[in-house]
Amino acid sequence: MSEATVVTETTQRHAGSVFALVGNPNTGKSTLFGALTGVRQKIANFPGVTVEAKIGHRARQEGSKTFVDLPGTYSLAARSPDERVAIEALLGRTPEVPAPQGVILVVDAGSLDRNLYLATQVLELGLPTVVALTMGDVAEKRGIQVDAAALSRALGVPVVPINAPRGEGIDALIRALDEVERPEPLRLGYPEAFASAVSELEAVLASRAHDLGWQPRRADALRLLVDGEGPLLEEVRQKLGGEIVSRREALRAEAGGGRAPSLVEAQTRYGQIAEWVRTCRRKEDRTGVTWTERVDAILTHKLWGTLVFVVVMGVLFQSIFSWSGYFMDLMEAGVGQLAELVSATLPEGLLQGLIVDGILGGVAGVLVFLPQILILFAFIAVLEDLGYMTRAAFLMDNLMARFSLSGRSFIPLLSSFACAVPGIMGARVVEDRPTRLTTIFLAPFMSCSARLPVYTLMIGAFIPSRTVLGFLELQGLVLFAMYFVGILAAIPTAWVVQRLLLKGHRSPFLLELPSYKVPRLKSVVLVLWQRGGAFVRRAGTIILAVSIVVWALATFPRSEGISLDYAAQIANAETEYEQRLDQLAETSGLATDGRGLLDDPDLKRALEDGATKELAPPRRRVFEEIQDARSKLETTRAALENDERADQLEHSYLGRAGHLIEPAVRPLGWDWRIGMATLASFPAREVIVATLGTIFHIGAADEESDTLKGVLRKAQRPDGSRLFTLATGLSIMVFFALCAQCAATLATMRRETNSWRWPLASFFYMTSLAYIAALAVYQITTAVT
Amino acid sequence: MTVPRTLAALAVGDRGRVTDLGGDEHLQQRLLELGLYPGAEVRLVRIAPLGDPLEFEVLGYHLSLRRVEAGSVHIEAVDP
Repeated sequence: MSEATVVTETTQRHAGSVFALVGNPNTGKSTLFGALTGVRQKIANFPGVTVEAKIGHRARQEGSKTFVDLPGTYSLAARSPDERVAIEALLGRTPEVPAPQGVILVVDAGSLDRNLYLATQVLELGLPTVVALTMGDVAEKRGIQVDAAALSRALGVPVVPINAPRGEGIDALIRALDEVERPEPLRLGYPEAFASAVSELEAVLASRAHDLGWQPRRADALRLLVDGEGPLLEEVRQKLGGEIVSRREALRAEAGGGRAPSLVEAQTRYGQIAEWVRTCRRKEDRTGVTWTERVDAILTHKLWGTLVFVVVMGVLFQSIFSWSGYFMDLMEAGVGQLAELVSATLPEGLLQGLIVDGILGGVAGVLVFLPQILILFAFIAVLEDLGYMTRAAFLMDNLMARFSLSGRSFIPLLSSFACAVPGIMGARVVEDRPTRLTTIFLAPFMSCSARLPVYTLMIGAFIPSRTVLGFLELQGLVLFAMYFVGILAAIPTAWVVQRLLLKGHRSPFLLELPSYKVPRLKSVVLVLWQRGGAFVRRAGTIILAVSIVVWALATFPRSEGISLDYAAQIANAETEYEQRLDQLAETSGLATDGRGLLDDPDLKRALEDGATKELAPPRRRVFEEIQDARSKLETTRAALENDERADQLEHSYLGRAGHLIEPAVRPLGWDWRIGMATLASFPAREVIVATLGTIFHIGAADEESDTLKGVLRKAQRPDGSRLFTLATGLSIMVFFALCAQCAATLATMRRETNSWRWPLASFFYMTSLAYIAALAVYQITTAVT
Repeated sequence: MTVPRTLAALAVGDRGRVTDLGGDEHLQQRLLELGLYPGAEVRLVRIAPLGDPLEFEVLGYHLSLRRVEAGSVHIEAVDP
């Protein structure tokens, strides 16, 4: 919402100086954007699509400029709504970004031909355009020299060589933007029949501009003629009717003259490009192998490449799970101290409960995973910058293709072992929509770190620590099996999703393998900042909200009867303590009553400061008796408080819901308490541990707590039989391996697919699967043991 | 010498010149935009360890295609 406000504001304030950055992927466009605008960037999201544009400003005395970084593209032909949005934004037809008055066309000197393909399309728009020529140094190393002045003469627009990482050429680019004028739209030498077909469609579109809702250009007519089924044709069909569409069909046949219109378009463009390039590029005949090729010979080698890949992914995995441990403990401790501080300052009651259990609990739930996710993001950012990510996709594509995925799905799925949220966000790199949706759907099946506490608790409590088959540790084996359960379930799921839910156009796997680059700290930090921020905002808000709701459900309604009952019991214990003191006073003769006894100077010093040395034997004995009575009171009080919490929880809405679902979870070997703890863990899986702690009367607990493990082992059903058996433990673990108990994942899914259909499908599918699998595991284990 | 008919049939290190494109309309358009137009010279740089996809050099950059898509790009032999 705030983004939209900013946009409107900038539209008014900076009218006349908004420039869009357009270019192929891997041309250094984002680096240039960073050099132009600095770190303060706004992300503009468009409804219904996953692409985003970045908006940034550059303030100067002469007036500031606004830059819009559009997604990298090879062409202005749009086959999907995602691609269409970038073009709409460039033409100023989207409210989410300010309408650009000019274009910075980013052109990579190293692959001029392919870059100029997009350039011909942009120049046909007739927008004021400045070409930023990047990667000149890299090209030169490969023996390619591009003459910027000659290129400028050929294209008819200014060309500025830049080196954004070093900040070279940025000022010249700004000056060129200040002076840039509106050029004549480029007219290429299309065959006569093709050109006149475009003209006819142009006239038709122009006459129906009102119905379209935007001012059509000749370039729109060209795209309508050439492009196949896609968003533009769909829009024209809907707004202008089928008549134009059938006329288009006829025109396509005429325009092609036996060839596909797209072939005519491409050959005309490449013909022009060849002419331009002849005048401005010199290529030395170098037969030498480039640095990138030499590195690739190792990194994509059958043996060495696979080895490096396994090591890189191993280190990534290791860093997520081990190196982050220290920071995670730090975060946990920090939040824990804050909670203690609040508990100490605020009076016990609802407000304290809301802040400590509802809000801080939710905050901790997010923050604890933040170090892990930042390490993951940093790793990915470095590998991306380096150019290794595309190689990973290249190496893994064949394996992933067997599960109807693509090489680009690999990293999102790997990330999901840390947390499904960055995994789902990362699925944006998967170009093909059906594959992207499948990747998103599979992400929560990867065993994320929030499941680890559940596994740790259950394995610690119910799996004996012994060696099997000579060298395998049984507990470790079970943990590994839990990770495997998710992957195993994901394979048929991929098949089901592809066959049942996804039909329609599949785009091919086309992957540019860019040259390797040395990662730059600045860009890594920027990416870390943006993605980390997005994670905290998205996961944070939803987990916080749901945590508060669950806290309320676990707290209300509060039973006055229970409170009074326990207050009375605590009062009893206190009375008993006072009576004991009175008794001590009398028998020792040190005072007339308990109060007087505590006022005895020597005893007082001993009790308050621990100064026991000077105590004479009679006083020492009394002192020890007092200590005993005190600790007995404290133990009783704590136990009563834990009992009260458990009782209150049982009578809360959540407890009632637990009882309500008990018949449904009984076949899994669960009782109402496990059912309730599972319900409570809807915001995040790991919450089950704390809820079990409360309901089993031990107060605050974590998964390492031996007390909790012991209590679980001893827990009984009403008939006296043991509640937790090996079968129950396994059924809980399998359920948590497969269930969709994570509000943040579902919310991220909704956001990335722009529909509730996917998160709902995910929730019902995963919950059913988890239920069936837990049922099977419990029944089978019970039968064989 | 037998002339390989599509990009999928090239041997590593060999070159071919694109003559024609098959496959659906969208695929053809994408391949054209990426530089695989009739007349363009393509070299098979390497094959991924798992046998697919393939890495080509075209227009001075590196592009990876799966065998199935490479099979829709018809080529002729290039004189060495």
